[in-house]
Amino acid sequence: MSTALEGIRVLEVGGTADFALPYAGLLLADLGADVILVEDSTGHPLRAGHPALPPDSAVHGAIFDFLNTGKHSVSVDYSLPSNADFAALVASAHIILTTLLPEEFAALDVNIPTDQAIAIVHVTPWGATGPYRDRPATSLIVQAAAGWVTSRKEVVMEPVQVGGQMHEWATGSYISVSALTAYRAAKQQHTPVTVDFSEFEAAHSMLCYDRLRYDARGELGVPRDRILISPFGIRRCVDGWVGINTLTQAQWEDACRMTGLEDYYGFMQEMNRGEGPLDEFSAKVDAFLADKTVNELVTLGQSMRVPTIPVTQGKEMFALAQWQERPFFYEVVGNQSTYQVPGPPWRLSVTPARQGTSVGKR
Amino acid sequence: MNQPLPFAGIRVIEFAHFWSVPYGTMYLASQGADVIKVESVQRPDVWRANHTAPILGDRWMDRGLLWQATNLDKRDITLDASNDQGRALLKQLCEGADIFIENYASHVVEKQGLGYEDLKAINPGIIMVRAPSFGNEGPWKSYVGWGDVFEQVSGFATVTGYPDSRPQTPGGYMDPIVAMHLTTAIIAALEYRDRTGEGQLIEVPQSEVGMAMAGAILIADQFGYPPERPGNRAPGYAPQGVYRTGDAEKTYIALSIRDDQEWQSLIAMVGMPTLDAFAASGLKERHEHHDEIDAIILAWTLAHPANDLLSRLQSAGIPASRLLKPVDYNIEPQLVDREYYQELDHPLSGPRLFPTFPMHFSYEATRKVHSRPAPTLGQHNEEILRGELGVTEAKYADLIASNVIGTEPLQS
Repeated sequence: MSTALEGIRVLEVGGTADFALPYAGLLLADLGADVILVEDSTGHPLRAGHPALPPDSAVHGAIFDFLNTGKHSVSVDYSLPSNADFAALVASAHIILTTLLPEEFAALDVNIPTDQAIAIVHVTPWGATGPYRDRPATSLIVQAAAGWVTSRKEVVMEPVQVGGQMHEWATGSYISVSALTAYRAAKQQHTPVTVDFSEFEAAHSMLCYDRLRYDARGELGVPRDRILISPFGIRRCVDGWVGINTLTQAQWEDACRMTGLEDYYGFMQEMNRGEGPLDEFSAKVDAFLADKTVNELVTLGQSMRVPTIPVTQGKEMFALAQWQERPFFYEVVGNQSTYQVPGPPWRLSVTPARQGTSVGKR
Repeated sequence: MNQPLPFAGIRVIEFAHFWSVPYGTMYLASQGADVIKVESVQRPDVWRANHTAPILGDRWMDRGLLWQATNLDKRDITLDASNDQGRALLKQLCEGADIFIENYASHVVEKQGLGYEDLKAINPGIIMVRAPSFGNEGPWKSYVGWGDVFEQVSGFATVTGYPDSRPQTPGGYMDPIVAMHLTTAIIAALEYRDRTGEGQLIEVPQSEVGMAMAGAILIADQFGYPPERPGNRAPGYAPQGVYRTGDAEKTYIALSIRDDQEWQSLIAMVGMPTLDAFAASGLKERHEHHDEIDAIILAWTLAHPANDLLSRLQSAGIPASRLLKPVDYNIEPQLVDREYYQELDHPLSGPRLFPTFPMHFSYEATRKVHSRPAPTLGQHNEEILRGELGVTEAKYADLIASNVIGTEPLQS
């Protein structure tokens, strides 16, 4: 069966210990692109692991395999000037995803014809210009600079990062969009198109409305700081954690009704700001949850249109009723063990994503 | 002359509300697509009501800045799709469209005769995109959710927070993330249609986008490393953390020590004998004594303003940054230098700085990313319905009279 990106060759060149670019390549591979990981003699840095992962080569290997399913890997010392093998790969490519800055890529001395329809996406922590361009970065530093390190939704808590390298995975989706947009432009204009892609700006793009919200609140005459907390939020119950989420007054009242706390209908705004009778409210919510299971609460909450959900702990996800019935996770057979991974996040009716049962055949 | 933008000539019908889908279509609009947002006077996009109120003046539902920031570069019409005439016009629009995209509850479009099979019958090349919460099938197909919910169910809340805190919801980043995933799929489907002429149905469940990003969490768990809340730490770096500074206004910096050389630089900079005691410590020992080391670093940062600390850390090549706060977004030097925020003048709410995107294309070197402010409700009714669909003057007046179209919400 034909795939959406059949015939499009993507090279991944360079690489850092960061999930963003490899995840972008994985998304393109899922859609049928011919993605080639170009590794020099030192190998991709993620083969040695990610600084946020446990120092265990088996984990590193499995995650590396997952990120590179459906891709090919070739060993080419692209950093050697005028490497003919690399030049041939570039001549055959439609998209290049690289962690090299534009001048670093230019120094590889690969001649790209002015009429080659090729997209070259330079993915760097800060972008190829600007005062921060050469600053060192880690995952925490990019998050901090972009505005991701906050007190989350607690009244009192020291600022904390978002775990799971969420911003790196999310950034991968901005990169895949960049690559396909630039390739479309390159085809139309019969010329190479380059993209200066900033991971910092990508992370910032996911929360950049907070400044507009700050301005709007000032104009509305309410405290400028954004909503501080989620009064129901994430709570412990008999067998795990449950999220009870309220966005609107209607959902708030339904959640109060669900927990027998109708007396608090009028306190949403106040408690969202971390004010009012929070402690007594919190104690009453916990008392209500104390003898109930996650499944009971989710069923009850959703029946009342309250966005109530299990707060999953890792592999608990596999057992959720929705994905028992709707195949999404699939098993891969690795070198030493068998494990499950998530499938692609989309279903295309005519050009299904590639999916299989073993590494390399996704 | 400037080249046309990559999505010039692509018409997108957006039958969607809130943030996720409209953010994705705004990206396509900023790259040249003709995005027509379809609302109704009965049910305007609920996102319009976010952070706005009658106190701001007339047409307050056009003044919401978050709604505007999600709908730049688009055209806007109203059509009551529950009315036969409104539905017929919407279908007429779809005849000439390339993409129809929706994010309502799973039964809504079918009920209105706008399911994929309905649209395919009138336009075989159309690409229909659906972004349900949990999928259009399965026991949770009617479950309600929004960004926080998807972060909780996909495991990211469990790994966010301190070891002794409850799980923390990252905070609603999923909408733009879903948007970029579905936009990736849309552009791929356009590639396929360019080759074959064939359209298709794309489903991007928002919860599955979160789960697709949880591969590392899931694999680590299956290899014996159940998810933990690491605070601000990471196994590969130590010390790493967030520290309050000595500024009068509450300010924090983050720093990471990646290797022994950076560790020696930090020890010399801090200049406290208590830290010197750890001079010979490698990564493993620094992790073992992380709490003690943090206390010493905090004593140092509390004694200095953030500017001084950052200047010294960055000069020494140590990764460090201030924690960015919303009040500073528009003056953040790197964002300012790269013109991340762009001013657009809205006829009702005046000039404002709106976000652009993190990708800077070579063909955009001299072009502003956004070309026009967000539309008002039904602003392009006449232009599109009369000018492009050929609705007669009499019928147009009748559509207004019967509230099939309009420019003011029927109820505030």
